[in-house]
Amino acid sequence: MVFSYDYSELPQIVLAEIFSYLKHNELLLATSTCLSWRNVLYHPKLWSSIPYRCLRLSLIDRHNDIQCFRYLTTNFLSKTRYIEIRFDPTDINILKDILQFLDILTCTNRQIKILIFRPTSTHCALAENEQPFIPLCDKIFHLLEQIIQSNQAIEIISFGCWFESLFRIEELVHVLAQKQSHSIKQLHLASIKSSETHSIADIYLPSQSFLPFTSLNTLSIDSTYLTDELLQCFAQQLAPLKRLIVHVSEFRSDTQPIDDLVWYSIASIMPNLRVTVHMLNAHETFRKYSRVLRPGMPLSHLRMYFCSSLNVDLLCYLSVHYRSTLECLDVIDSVTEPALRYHNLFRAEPDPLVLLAWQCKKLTSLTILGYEVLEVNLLAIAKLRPQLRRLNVCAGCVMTLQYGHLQMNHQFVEDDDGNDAFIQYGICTNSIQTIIGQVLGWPWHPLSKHELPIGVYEYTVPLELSFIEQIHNIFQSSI
Amino acid sequence: MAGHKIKLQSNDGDIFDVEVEIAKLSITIKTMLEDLSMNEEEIIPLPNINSAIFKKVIQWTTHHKDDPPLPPEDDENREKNTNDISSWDQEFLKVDQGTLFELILAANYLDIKGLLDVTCTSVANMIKGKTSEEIRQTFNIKNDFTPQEEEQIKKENEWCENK
Repeated sequence: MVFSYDYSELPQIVLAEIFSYLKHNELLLATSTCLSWRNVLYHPKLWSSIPYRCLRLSLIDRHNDIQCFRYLTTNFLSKTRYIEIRFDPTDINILKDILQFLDILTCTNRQIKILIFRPTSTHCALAENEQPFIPLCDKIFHLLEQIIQSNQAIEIISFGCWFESLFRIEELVHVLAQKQSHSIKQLHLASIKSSETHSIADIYLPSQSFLPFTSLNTLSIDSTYLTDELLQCFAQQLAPLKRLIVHVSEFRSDTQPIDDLVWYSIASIMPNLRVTVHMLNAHETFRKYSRVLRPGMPLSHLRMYFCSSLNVDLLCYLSVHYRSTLECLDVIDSVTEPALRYHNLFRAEPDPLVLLAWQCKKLTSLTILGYEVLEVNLLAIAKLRPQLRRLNVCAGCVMTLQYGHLQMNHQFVEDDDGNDAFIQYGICTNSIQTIIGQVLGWPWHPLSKHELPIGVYEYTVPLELSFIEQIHNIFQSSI
Repeated sequence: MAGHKIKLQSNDGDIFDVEVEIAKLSITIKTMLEDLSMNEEEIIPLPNINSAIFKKVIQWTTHHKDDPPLPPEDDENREKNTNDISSWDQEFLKVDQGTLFELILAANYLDIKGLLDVTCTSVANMIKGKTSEEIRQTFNIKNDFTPQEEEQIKKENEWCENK
């Protein structure tokens, strides 16, 4: 029996069910076929299906973005459960738009589950025009508190290192603890401080404030707040914390390092806890790093952004203490002339980076930007850890080292017993690239300029531009 | 009460004897039986479903009568996945677009969540990877946009695209 059919006549609720299986681009194509299917784009069911469809808003270049922003907020703000907003927090008009947007949100939507802020800068304003920003930001955060109070069950909130949130951290955590303590699973409160702002944020946040959060599995927070009491607080939770992200941008002499015994007991009570440490612009000696990087800490990810502090001591320390936990080491520094060195190449002892690759059995991601790296050592690392999914180095920093002797006619002859060493920069032979690729099982090449974060080569841009986006992605990767 | 049967009538007059337990997979029929306390001897009319489709529905519900209940709609673990159609269902859904269309309407009317899920997934799979025009052809959809609307949609889609 043959039936006539016209799928545009399916009930909207059924179409919403069908479309809930589609990816974003597929949805846009499907809803561009006819009026009836178009209307489903605005059907609340489509927006309440799991996984939640993200409403991505962007206000970076206001002139270009505002029309789009208005269309999206007008049509989807009341239906969505998942909002991500990218914005330039240094533009006062954009902040006004955000205030208005939050105002509408407060009135129309009490079903928000995920709220992600992605400011493009950690700064709010330049000193001279700072005045009008303060009351505006006060209003914004006042509305945010209302949103936290009025929503049914918020699961994830990220302030994306928005500097303004740091001033309100105590109130925000307080309201969250009052209203969302059982639903909150992820909370991103960490900040990125710069040299000018180091001293400003010193808001007291009692560790006890975190006691009520019974479902929290991911927390990012500044190292200033990382105390024995805070960790013990998490040890008491029923649903234990799985991921702790700690931001370090200053080493204060008055903060007490975590007691080793506390870390050891935490690691045994919460065997699944993995700690990520982000060092941001923290030029410091190894001794100071070890105040945060305690031996008993289950460190899985260490990322050092523009710290210029990678050295033998640190690499050996990591190899010894985190050999069974470290999965990712990312070191990102500017490329200088000559490049930075983490050890003396001409010393006979083995390369500490190769040692680290050998010791840390779980290592799957290694990024060393701005430091000299010997070609043969890259090969050694790949062979030791063929499971590496990432092995990033700057093409300009890879070098080959040959021993030999220089002849009278200035010709260099390779010879293992030779007294002269010949170094060539920026060379990674194709054959080595191919072998590394074969060992790792994916095409490997050292990164050229355009593949690197902007601050690695551009010294004039604020350094945070090189990593704020990456940190936002790290926050969101666990969603 | 296994084996106990009720009578259901399709819109073209055919009467089907269906086991109560199987018929009750349809929330619509279950509600009729329980809330309206209908007499079990009475013939229940199904005005929206023809015999050919109803046979398919009975075939599906008979096969799935012992399935565990589906998790609730807002369950965390109920991820949308277009790959998890069982091989029996895949075979079952090897039908023309018209039959699939009628099956969806029947599943929706009878409120059989599992059948609706699997038919919707199947349609979603057919949408994937196609252009708007190919989608129209596959599902016999007429482009009823005015040129102005067409323009507007183009702009809106640009706005909706993930940046």
